[in-house]
Amino acid sequence: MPADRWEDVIAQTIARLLIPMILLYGIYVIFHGHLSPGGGFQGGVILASSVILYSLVHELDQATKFFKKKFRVILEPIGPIIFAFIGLLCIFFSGNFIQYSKLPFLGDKEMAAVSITIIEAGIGVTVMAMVISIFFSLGGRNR
Amino acid sequence: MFGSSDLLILVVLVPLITAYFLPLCGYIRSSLCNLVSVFSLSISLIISLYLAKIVVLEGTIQYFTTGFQPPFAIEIRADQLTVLMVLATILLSLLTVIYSRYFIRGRFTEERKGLYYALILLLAGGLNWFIIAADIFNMFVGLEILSISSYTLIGISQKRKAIISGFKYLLMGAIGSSFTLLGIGYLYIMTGTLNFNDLALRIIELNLMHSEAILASLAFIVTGLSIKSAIFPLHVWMPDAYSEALVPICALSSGIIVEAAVYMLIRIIYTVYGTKIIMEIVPITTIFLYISGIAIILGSFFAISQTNIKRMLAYSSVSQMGYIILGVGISTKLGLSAGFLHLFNHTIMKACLFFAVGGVVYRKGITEIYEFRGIGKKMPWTMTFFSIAALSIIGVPPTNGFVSKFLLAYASLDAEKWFFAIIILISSLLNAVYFFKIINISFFSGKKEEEKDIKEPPKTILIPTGILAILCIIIGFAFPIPLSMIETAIKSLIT
Repeated sequence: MPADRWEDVIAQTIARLLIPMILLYGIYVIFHGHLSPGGGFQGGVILASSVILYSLVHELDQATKFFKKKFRVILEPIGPIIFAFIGLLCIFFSGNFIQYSKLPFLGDKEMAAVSITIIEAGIGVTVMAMVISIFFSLGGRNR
Repeated sequence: MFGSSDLLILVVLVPLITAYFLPLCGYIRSSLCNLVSVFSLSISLIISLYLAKIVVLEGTIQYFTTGFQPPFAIEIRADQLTVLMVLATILLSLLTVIYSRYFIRGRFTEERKGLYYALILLLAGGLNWFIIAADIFNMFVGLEILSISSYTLIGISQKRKAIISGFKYLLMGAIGSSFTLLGIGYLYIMTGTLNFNDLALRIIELNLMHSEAILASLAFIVTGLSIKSAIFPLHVWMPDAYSEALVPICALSSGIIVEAAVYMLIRIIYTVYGTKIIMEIVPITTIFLYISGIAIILGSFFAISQTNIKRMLAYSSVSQMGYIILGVGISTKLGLSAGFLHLFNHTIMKACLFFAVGGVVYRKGITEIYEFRGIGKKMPWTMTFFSIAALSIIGVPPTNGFVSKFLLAYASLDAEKWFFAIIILISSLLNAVYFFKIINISFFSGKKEEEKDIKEPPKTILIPTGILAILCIIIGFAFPIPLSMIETAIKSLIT
């Protein structure tokens, strides 16, 4: 093993076990956001923390392979765009901005729950990409 | 389908959504960014013109997101004053984007161009949201969107000094934002509501006029927004930030950001607190009156002593913000409308000055005043536009600056505060000192033969400057149109 390369079998094995659970928990927090404490922001950070854990136990380069800058640039604006799109859809169906009850597909309350969940998911993706970008930039390998 | 009041939210959403797409455009093709942002802002300009027509014909537009009634929904509202502010914002952002097409070439990498235009559109959207909010917390959200994008824009050129001055601006701005948020917190604790009109009602209903918390909230909000709008003792971030920022950003910041902050300050102290609190219990208007007097004179003196033209224009802005605050200080309907008219005039004049200076910076890369020797002979159009805007700031008829300064002097005489009419007169002379210095050395000294390769900047830089310079003269004659709109709005502001 070269001197500049740092590898730890224990850390890597535990991370391999932990990362799926972290991802699952993050997704749970996002999709339960409109009923319990949590939501897009918190869930997004939890999702990002799994990637950060991966880049801590492996090389930063390997993590950037999954999340190339181009991919992150595509992920980052998704949340706001989905939010604005659903808001505009409400205007389109003769409601006010983000008046979910005017959306025609389901009942009033169901439609509100569904649209909030979609928005939360979008926000989760955005926050995840954002936190990963900040981590990679501060890691000094902004490729 | 889209009703006429839905246009109010579109004026925010169109720039904001485009801003999120622009980094992607920057990856595909960086030359696309400019076209996309010009297109988006043109659409916003058309929408805001149509909105202005509706508001003038049919009166104030109210709009509630989520469809509930206030105070549960987020209310946004546009009266005639608001519509003028939105028009000024969109027009100036559009001109800045057109101006930047050649100006930023070679100043940073191709990828960063997408970011630059995205930040300008985010700024425009945030400004519109800030201006049309009728809900004190959403006003704060808009304030943060516009502040964060402006901090980043000041430091975007990635030079060492620019990053430092951007960071200084961030520190001052963050203090301002936190003060505002603290004030909002006090208001919410005491009244339990955030809507402007509801707040005003609750303060009277719950008999909170003399409550310390409400007065503290007034102090925090006034201080916070005064930092953002560079009112005299809190202006120190402004010259440092401008001396290193790109010229189009200076124009945007000095032209509309500080104006929007002072507009919101006036709107909050009049609609939320009401005239009784701000005139009798805490004499904020009197404080503003004396501050404005000091700001007008000292700002001009500081401007005279500068050698860097961007710092000079920044101090000139401090002085001009004094005029706007003087309108609040006089606190009659006439004074306040004159102050607001000066606000819009200052947007046009100062942006024109910065754009003209930017033309010189683009060709020669100079910002020191003595280096302007003989520039007027090589760039006659640029310096002519500069001179028109300079004459307008000095207050020479028939420009727009003359009208608003004259109205302000008339209002101060009318309110028996004749001392401030004299201050306006002295300040005009001081303005003449530092602007005639530049006009003099650029047109009447230096030789034509030296540096023959210097010529006029490209048309995308010249035309926005020209549009603003022509607007200076047009509004000098057509001032009754904005003035009548402002007066209608102010009738409901001061009761």
